[in-house]
Amino acid sequence: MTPTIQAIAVPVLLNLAYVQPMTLDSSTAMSIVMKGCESRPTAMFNAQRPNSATLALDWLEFGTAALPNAQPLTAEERASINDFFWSQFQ
Amino acid sequence: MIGDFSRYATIIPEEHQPALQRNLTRIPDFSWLLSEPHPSLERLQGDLIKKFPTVFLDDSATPRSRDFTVMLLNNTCDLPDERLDFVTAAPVVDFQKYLEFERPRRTAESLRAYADSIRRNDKTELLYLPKFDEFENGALVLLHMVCSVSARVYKRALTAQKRIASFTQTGFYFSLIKLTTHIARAEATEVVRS
Repeated sequence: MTPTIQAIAVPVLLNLAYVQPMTLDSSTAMSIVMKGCESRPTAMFNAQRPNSATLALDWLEFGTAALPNAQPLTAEERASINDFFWSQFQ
Repeated sequence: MIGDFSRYATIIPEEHQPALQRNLTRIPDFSWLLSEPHPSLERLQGDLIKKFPTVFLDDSATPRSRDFTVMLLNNTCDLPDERLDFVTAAPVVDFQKYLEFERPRRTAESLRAYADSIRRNDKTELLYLPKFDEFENGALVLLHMVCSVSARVYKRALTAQKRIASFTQTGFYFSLIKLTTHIARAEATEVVRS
């Protein structure tokens, strides 16, 4: 592949590989299933990002800002919720 | 609380920012999280489905199966038939029943503080949901207890109209915050990988 063709073809192929038009498959008027969404994480928000890593970091930062006091369960709390969960099987 | 919301314009569309910002200031009121099942879109990430078969391995690796209300964790774009062989489901339990279970283990004050932290969604493993369906006092999605179930089971559940709630638009963003905070928060600085 010559450099010129490569310069054109590679972006096109990448585009075809990762960007699919979002369509709807409607079996009935009230039953629609999303079809062919983009596989890139940026697709959901239609944002053009240089890379998905920064998108993930944005989510992390946003989550920290929205829930500044978020903490994992303590050992006692974990034992408690797990005991409760397993008690549902009795 | 979040100050300059425009910093997050790349992950939250501008038109959704005012509603999300307004709703985040209402915490611990989470009445904005859920709605009736979406009237036209049949398969959405976060949908809540009742009487859904689940299975978990106990301490002796024995499979334990039971029907739970579940929250579907799969991305909406992975839910069409040709993208789907298994769904990932997180069980949902009754919040009030859990508090009753916990009551003998704590003082009244300790229980109240614990319940408040759960209601504020400050526990990363637990997604607190407000009242819906049979859960009169709210419910907890156990994000640390997920399982995989055949997509055929999921499709049969949809056919049987077992879908009981969907996340609202702003509620969906919040569910992503919870999933991110639980699964993808930063590792400790002591973790050094080769």
